[in-house]
Amino acid sequence: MKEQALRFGKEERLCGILAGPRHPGRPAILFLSAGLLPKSGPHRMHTEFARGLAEQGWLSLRFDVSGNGDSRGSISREGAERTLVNDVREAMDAMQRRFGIERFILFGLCSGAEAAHRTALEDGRVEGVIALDGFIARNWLFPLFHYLPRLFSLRKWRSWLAKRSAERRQADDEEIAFWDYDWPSRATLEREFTALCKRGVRQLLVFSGGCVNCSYERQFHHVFRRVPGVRRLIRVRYLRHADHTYLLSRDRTELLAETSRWLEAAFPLRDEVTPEALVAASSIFGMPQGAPGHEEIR
Amino acid sequence: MKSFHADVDGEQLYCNLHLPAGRLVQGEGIVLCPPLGHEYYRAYRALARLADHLASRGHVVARFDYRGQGESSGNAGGYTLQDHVRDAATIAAEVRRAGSLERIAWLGMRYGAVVAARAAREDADSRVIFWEPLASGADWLRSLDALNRRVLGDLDRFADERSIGDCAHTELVGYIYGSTLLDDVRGFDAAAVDDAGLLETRKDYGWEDERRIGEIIVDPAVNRAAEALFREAA
Repeated sequence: MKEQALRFGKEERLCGILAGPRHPGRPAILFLSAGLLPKSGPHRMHTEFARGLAEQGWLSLRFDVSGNGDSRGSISREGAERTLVNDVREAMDAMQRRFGIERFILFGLCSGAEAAHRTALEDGRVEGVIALDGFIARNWLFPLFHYLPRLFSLRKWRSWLAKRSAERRQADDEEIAFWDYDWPSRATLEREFTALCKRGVRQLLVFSGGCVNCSYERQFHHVFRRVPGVRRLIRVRYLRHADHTYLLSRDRTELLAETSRWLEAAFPLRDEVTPEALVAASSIFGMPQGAPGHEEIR
Repeated sequence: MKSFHADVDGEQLYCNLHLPAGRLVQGEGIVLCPPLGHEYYRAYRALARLADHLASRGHVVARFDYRGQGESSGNAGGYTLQDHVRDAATIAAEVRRAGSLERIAWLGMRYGAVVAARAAREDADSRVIFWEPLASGADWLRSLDALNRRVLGDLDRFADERSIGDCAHTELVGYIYGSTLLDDVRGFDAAAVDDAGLLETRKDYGWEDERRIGEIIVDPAVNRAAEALFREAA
């Protein structure tokens, strides 16, 4: 399968990889950076997923946000959230200008999930969000499923103490510390999810056993039960056996299957796509290139 | 910086070429040979910063993903050490072409030291520099296996302990390694590589600490050390 390296955005500072065929009846998928990891994602998850979904006819762009991976620029401590959202919107602008794509699904883990949520709130081109360990609020049942099993485990306590020490060490590095920012309140999240549902944005929210704010599958729907259309528009899965970064390949395979099923169900092909439109769209990799394998989109 | 895919043996190699901006190009191009698996992800940012720094000092520097890794084509597990050495040589040709350069320095980190040493052996007009090299291939494989077991049992990572049975064949700390490649690495001994320069660091990167497998390496002092090392050579 052919992929293409792209530099785009203001001063061509952002870098991404385009994969898959373009189908005019389908939105494109954008894979957002997870923390400080490069665009291939944790354990190469984004690359594997982009290629797997390309075989099923999905076009995607995985890219590094400003100052991360192979992208230039920087994120200030004050503006981390704003910078991430701006970068995602620039990626959508570039895809729209270059390929005429106007509908997008955002895929993100952790800070990538949060950026996906925030971008969806302010940009109507986002029609779908796949968020891994993204926003959720705790409820009274959370501690029952989360803490109770841990309370009597000495190994769990040892593990927790060691983790705190590692986190303190990493926070001493200035380049890393800017990722810390406030988590929105439950009321704020309820307003935001309501706004997204009113707009008809479809979401797949997957929480892992490593998520510190979710401890059972129905938690999200319990907490946000008053959000209109929440059960129809937001699918939630809780993969307790998986860790936060989907370290094991079998967990990633399960997640990809879940993602693929949801995409097919939530974004079925539109009937009105003509054969001519398909032929025009399939020329996405046939564009003239400035340098070997190097494509610029502005 | 140019980002592109280079072709070799029908594979696409993802490469970033860092070019000097308005400064004299030094006479030696640099190819950064990265680690594998989770060690690469930890080092990605540091390698990008190092390449930027050296380019700002007049060097043409290339970073790349081996086939089966990162953004290059192919699935991990299907390739050998010799494939990766060919990848490095392909990227060196891009560097030579970009800067009209004759000489190449291979800067290898961790597993990349194995690739760099082999690439230097096959390229008479080059030299090799190690950064945190594997001291011994056999020891590295043993420690990687032990690390993998500790990670699977880390109850702060997993809600319930996972077992080796949950891993795919030759899957170690989240990445699949080819059996042939692991055999190729087993015999490597950094001390036996003559004339290798060493990029010294004062930091402990904690390669064998299961709690640091996701920790991003940040070490600006290495950039200055590398600059000095290449200045001396010039």
